Amino acid sequence: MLRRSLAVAAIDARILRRDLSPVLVMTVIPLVFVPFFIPGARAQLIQSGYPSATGVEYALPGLAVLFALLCVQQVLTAFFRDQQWGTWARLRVSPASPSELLIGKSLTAFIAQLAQLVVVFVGGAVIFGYCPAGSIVALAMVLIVFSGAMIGFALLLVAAFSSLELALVVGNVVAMAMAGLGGAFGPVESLPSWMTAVAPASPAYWALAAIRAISLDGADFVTVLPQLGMLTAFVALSVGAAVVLLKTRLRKERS
Amino acid sequence: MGLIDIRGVHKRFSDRAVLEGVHLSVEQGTVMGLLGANGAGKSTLISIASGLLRPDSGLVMIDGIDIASRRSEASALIGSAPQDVGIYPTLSTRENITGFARLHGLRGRRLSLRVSEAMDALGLEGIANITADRLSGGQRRRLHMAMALAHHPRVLFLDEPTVGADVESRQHILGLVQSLADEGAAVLYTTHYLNEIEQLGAEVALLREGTVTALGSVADVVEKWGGGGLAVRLHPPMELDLPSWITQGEWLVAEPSPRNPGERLAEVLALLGDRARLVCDVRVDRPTLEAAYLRVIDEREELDVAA
Repeated sequence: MLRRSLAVAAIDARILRRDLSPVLVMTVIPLVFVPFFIPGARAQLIQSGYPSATGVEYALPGLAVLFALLCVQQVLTAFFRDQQWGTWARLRVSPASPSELLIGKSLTAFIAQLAQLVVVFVGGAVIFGYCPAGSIVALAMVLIVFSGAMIGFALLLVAAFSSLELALVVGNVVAMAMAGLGGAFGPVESLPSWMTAVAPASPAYWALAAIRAISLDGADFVTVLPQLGMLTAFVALSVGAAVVLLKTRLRKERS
Repeated sequence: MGLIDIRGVHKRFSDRAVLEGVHLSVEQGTVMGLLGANGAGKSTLISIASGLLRPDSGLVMIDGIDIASRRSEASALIGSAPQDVGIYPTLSTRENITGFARLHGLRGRRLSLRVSEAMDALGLEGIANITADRLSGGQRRRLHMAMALAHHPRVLFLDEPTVGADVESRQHILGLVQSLADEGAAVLYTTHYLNEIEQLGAEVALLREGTVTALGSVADVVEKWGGGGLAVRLHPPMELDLPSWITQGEWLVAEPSPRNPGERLAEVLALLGDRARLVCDVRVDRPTLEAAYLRVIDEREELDVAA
């Protein structure tokens, strides 16, 4: 099973390697935006009781999470292009099962998503001196699980919509909303009360809560376990729902 | 039982019956040409046989394996080139073939060897490292085909594989189909180019309104339904009352249409006796697959399915 999934992943990896520009854009732009967000973030952090904060502890994670959400576009394209190129029918008549195809295509997308986040954080450290006060392992775990949640979100869009255009429109709108609710543009506490109430429905909320706790409060792996648990629940729910929807769709396609 | 065994397959789309109890068996080493008008159900049948669609009833066995219940096992034996070209435009010729060969479990040296063989067989070696979006239509069609057969499938489903291909590409494809059959593959091949079926020496299954209406070798089908005609002209013209011959103007026409015009010519010359020296012209229409095809798909004809 794994071999066939890896074969699918290898095809997608080659396609991605041929045109890295969309991923590079999503990786570079947050780093370009960081200096513009730092002064505001610094003022806010000082007001919140972090007198030695530089602002990058707040600005970098927010922008990283926002652009990770927008990276969903790449995942959607990776799924829908097979239909446009006529290769979906070929994949379907191959020995790979629908689950193997799904795992294979998700694997490359997951690695690309995680790489984008890692490069943004490493870039932030090198260029802007971002240095988390807490556990690097905990930070790595948050990035890994959040990347999984983003793939789950993308799979849900793939399963729910039959055209790339519609999936992109809905995906981008929902991604921006999730980023905003999660606190990517400013502290969740500064949002209107109804937004604060629904903010926990966004995976960005839990990811940013964990990353900021690690960055500012020196949180370790155990401290961010509740956030990691919530993100894992997002992964499970979104992937589960996507699999059910995709199976239904494939059954319809075959009948 | 053939390598491809299609038993009583029915398929409806909404309220339209597309396939109505299709039975078809393709033996090892045989090319079966699946012919029929647009909408006759050819592509639907290929989609069902390759596991892309489920039949409403009936079953498809690939080398004795039910494709509906053991899809993965059956698919491992199949190579399929759907009607629409399916290739990755941003990958090279070699990468496209390699990617799908890996999906069929090929690795290492065996993978490289099979990919090279497929490229060689279809004349793609010179463009191995060129990305597919830079290939011509014919080259893309050949690449599409190569992706279907690099893993040496025992069963091939080829849905109009030469559409849009130039003469060179078409000859490459036909030559390869023939050699695959010679090596023991069972090939189900749809096309609207009847000369391809003749060139391949294929078995023929004619689909009409979702059922197989004629089945047999090209020679059988042509002999049974291929028509043919024979007419002789006498000078001076004369009214003759010969059994199984009618007069049409200056021509004496064999009726019904003879399956072997040559034999009927000897017959009419014998019947004419001394008047045979008055024959000044002979018109022979040989029976053809095209004539057989047109006759079988004509709704007014009621034909029995050959066993």
